[in-house]
Amino acid sequence: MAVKLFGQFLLDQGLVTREDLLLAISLQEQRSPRLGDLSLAAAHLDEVKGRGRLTLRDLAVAIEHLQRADVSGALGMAFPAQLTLGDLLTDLEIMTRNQLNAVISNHSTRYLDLGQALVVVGAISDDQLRASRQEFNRDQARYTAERVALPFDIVNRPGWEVAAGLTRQMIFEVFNRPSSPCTCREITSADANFMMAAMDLSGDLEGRYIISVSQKLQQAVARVMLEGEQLEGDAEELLEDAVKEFLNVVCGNLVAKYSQLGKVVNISPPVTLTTGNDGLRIPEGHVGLSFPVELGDNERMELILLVKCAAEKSTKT
Amino acid sequence: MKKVLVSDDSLIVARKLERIIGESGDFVFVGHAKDGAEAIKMNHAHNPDIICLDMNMPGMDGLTALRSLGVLDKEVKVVMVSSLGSAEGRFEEALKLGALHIISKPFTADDVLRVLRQL
Repeated sequence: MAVKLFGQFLLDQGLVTREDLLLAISLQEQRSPRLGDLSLAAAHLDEVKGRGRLTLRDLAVAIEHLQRADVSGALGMAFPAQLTLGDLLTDLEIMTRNQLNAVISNHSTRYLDLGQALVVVGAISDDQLRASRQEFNRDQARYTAERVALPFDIVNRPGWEVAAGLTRQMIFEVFNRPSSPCTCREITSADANFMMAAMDLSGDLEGRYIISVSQKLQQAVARVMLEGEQLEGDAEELLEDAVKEFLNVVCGNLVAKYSQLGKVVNISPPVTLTTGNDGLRIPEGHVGLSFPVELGDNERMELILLVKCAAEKSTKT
Repeated sequence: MKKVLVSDDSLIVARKLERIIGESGDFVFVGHAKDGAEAIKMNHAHNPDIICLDMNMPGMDGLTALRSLGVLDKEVKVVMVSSLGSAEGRFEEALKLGALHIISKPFTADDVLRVLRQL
């Protein structure tokens, strides 16, 4: 009941061993292209930053893609001002366009995905790989998130639409309730509630996730997390921890889903927000999005996303 | 019965694992460490057969603790339990550092016991 990688799925099914996976990963690494020239790119970074086109974080993210052998993803990344890593490498004369094309072409013929690598090392057969991939796709189909349309001008809107859809699905999954339609509204402040917990996201998604619950729903979350076990005297700390862990599970699976898509998202540990009676004000430069999630029995959990405004909008406000 | 130590900063996860392990009939819960450093100390004190180790903890995280345990104790078997276990880099790193399996959150009793019984 979670977003998984193919290797983890095979391990869970007992089709491969940890040793098989390590052998296959090692083979993948041998076949991955080495773009040591990127260190030269880093040395030229000051010059590039002087042109206001690329940040250190942009380059770090690109290198992370390359370390995961996602060359085409890294080279195709759109940086600010429509610059790509491919443009950077050629602009700085680190590589010519021909060399760049050769790297991409070489990569596409030599690179092995994990399944192919497992076949090469003899852990599974071609037929087993084909059948396992079908089974894996069936298992993970529920996490092919619906997009929740966000009609607002926010940074990385398609990414947040996927995130909002997947988050709602995870909430219904954990509560074992059927998914229901969702509306999203822009808010300038969020009403006070019994408890709010938050996690910060960075990387390919930047913003803050907040879950707001009533006292009754806080208890319901704890029951779900403990699979029905009743809490006794020491419950207060456990109840608060249950909501934070619930948020941790939801966001952790979001990170895993983004990893499947070749994206990198980092999350901070969950924290409890103290809002007082006035509720939560949306900070300047951010858009507040509210998604009420109906869980039956008149219970409603509110998911709130604080997302950076797009550059044009933030300069207007 | 095999002794199991749980290391997770979440009280609710530790409580759930304690119940699953306690009711299993073939494992015994020996303690709860709230971070990686405490897990290393409790491993020395209780000498468990298995550690269920969370990846993302404040203070010393699970992967750092796993690296240390690989040096300090070659016998103990480590299973990562994490909602981040399916993030590609972390999954591979955990395997390379010696983790035998990764259980994704949210988990059921069956998910946990199936893995523990394979070890």
